Amino acid sequence: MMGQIFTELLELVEEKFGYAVVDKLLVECQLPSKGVYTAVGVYSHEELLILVKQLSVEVDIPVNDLIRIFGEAMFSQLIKIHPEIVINIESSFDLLSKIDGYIHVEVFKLYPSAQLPVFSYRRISENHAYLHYQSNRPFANFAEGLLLGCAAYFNETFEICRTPATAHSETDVIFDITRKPIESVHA
Amino acid sequence: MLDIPVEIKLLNRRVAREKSARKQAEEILNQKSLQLYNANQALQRSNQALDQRVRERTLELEKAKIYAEQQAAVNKKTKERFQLAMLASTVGIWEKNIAENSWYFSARLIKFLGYSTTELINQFETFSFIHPEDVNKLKKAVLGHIQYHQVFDVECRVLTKSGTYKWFWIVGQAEWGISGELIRIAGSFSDIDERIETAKLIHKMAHFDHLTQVPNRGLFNKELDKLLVTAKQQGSSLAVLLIDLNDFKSINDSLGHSAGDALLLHVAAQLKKNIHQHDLIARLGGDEFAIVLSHLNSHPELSSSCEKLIKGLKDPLKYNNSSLLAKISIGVALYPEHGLDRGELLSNADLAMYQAKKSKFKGSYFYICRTELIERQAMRCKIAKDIYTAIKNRQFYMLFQPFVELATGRLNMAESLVRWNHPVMGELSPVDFIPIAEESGLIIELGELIIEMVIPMVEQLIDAGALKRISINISAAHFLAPSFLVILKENLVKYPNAAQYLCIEITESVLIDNVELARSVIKELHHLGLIVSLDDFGTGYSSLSYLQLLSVDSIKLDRTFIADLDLNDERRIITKAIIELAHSLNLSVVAEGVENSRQLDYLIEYQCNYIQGNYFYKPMAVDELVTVLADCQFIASWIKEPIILEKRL
Repeated sequence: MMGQIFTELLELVEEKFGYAVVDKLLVECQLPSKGVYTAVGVYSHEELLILVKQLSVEVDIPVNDLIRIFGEAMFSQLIKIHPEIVINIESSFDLLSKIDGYIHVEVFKLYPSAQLPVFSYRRISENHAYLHYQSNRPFANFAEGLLLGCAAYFNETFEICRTPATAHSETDVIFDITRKPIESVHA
Repeated sequence: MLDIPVEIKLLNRRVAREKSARKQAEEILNQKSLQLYNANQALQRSNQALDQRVRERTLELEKAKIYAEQQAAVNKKTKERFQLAMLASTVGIWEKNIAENSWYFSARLIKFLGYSTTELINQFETFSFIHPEDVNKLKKAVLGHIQYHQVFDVECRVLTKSGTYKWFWIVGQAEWGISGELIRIAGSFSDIDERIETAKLIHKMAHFDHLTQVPNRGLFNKELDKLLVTAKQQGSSLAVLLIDLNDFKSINDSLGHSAGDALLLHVAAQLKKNIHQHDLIARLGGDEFAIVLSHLNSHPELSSSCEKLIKGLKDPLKYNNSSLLAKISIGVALYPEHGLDRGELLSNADLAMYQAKKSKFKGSYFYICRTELIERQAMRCKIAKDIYTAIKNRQFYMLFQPFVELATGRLNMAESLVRWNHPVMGELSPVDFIPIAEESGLIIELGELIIEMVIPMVEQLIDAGALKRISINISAAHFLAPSFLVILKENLVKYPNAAQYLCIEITESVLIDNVELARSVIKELHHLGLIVSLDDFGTGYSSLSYLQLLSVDSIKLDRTFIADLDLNDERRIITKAIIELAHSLNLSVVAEGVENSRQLDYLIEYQCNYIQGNYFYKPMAVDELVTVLADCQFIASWIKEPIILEKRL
């Protein structure tokens, strides 16, 4: 897993709860990497799960919520680092439609060893779409957080629910997304 | 040891983590740098390879460009050459593009036909400029090519803008798509008008007589064969007429060939005028024409057709200051009665024509072939064939008829006469076979056989005593043949005494053909010791100048004079005059065919030198002649007692 995820997570924890919590997490978790992360390194996703679980214990917030919040915050960070992603993109759905066909193609160029999930996008109507998340790693909540961050970036709001068949999976989830009109957001 | 505050410991751990992270990051960066370097190297190599590839490709492109330019230049030249060839070509090009539904016509074609492009499109699409008789032929060729890929190659008459038809050779070639659909069809028009006209002229020259413009023998043969096929299929009859101008040679000789040509033209025109459109007329050569009459219903109709032809020539042709009257002899043979094929019909028409010719003194005449005539001709052919065998097998034998010398009463001369004992037909008279031998040319071999047979007998007769001369008849053709003197001399070598006892009897026809040659032969005969007698004198030309010119020794008065001696005053006057004239020219005279005493009396009165005839002796075998000669050589006084002799016969 990209090191940047880890560094961003720790920075977010530091920002929200102070470095003492960060330090405790790293001491308590006894991670193989010993909590030494660089944005350019690659680390096991297991470490991320361990860290989030421990954080949940420390701050008393459910793991899934933490991961979703982290995903939401992660989106704006990704755009800061890679602003080219949103060039010529007008809206959230526009971006979602380009994840597999464009964004992941570009990611592979930068990180040839990256193991990326599959996002299958299906537009139902102007403000309604399905996004099918498939991954070897159980990060459906992280993906949901990214979706929320995406909507916020484009000044939109998403109502996201999971289709009943995929409601209990973390690796294979179809997100049923309803976008609220931008006008209403401004209103 | 002082307790280190928790914050410091935390910071220390943080610093340691950050330091480790920095080192880790530096290591990763180093690795990434190395990877980048390697990637860069690989990229450079790739770039170099790419540059090389680009150079190679550029070179290839350069080459391709040069090749393309060369090809373009070649194509340009080809195009220019093609355009030049099109301009120079005598062929007009056309093309119909089916897919684009467009037409192309070359400038030459437009020039050939004189139409505008719009007019041409209409003409091509409707075939309206093709001669009505050629339209189906052309349509068939076009469809045959498009549907069955047959050769599209046809000769047609095409109406030009000027309103005249011209012959063109039209060819075409279609192009078909993968699924067999017609894409385009293109072709050419070649002007063959001159060639066709020339071919027509050549055909005319080859098949028509240049003078009279009627078909010649070649075309006549072809057409007659066709008519015969039709007649056979329809069971109808045909009449083949052979027409010959009487005495045409004399017109040519006396008035010149221009007069002859004018007469031939006149005859051709008149004959043509008096036959039907479906009848065939031809000039077979010289003064010989032929006509084939078809759709004949009866013999009277045929006779009336022949009479019409003769009547058509009854008026003379005015030529310069002369009047030329064409008299013709027509011989007719009918299909199928007188022959089933051309050869047989022409041959029998020829026979009939010779029958008609016999009546030429009556003017124009026609004769329709008869079966008897054909049979007689067949018989003549058979006899000619038998003569050949008879010469080889020596079926001929000699008889002799003595002459009486009036001055002495002696039997001292005889004429040798050939006879033929035919193995099937028995004894044949010379009248029956000599003319046939003359016609077939066998007369020379027969004459040679006679010489061979007679000369040894002369020796035998000399021994019998009192023989003065034995005469041998030699035909004109034989007399003038080079072999005559050769064979004669060969036989005289064997019997050297015989020459002074021999007389050669010839007829005037010998002299008419070649006087100089005849004179030289007579001279040679005299040199050998023989004498020459002119037989049948008084008939034919009987030119007295010949008698002087040819140095003959005697003449034989024709039997027709003798037969009329006791009946006709005029004959007696002529006979007497001839004898006196001959004597004045120092020629002796033999009278042949003496049958009675009255004839004899006149001849004695006219002082004829020799008498020959059945009144005295019929022709006899040599042994009998020997006896007769022995018995009668003394009878100088028989003239006063002719009865005695009569009793002896």
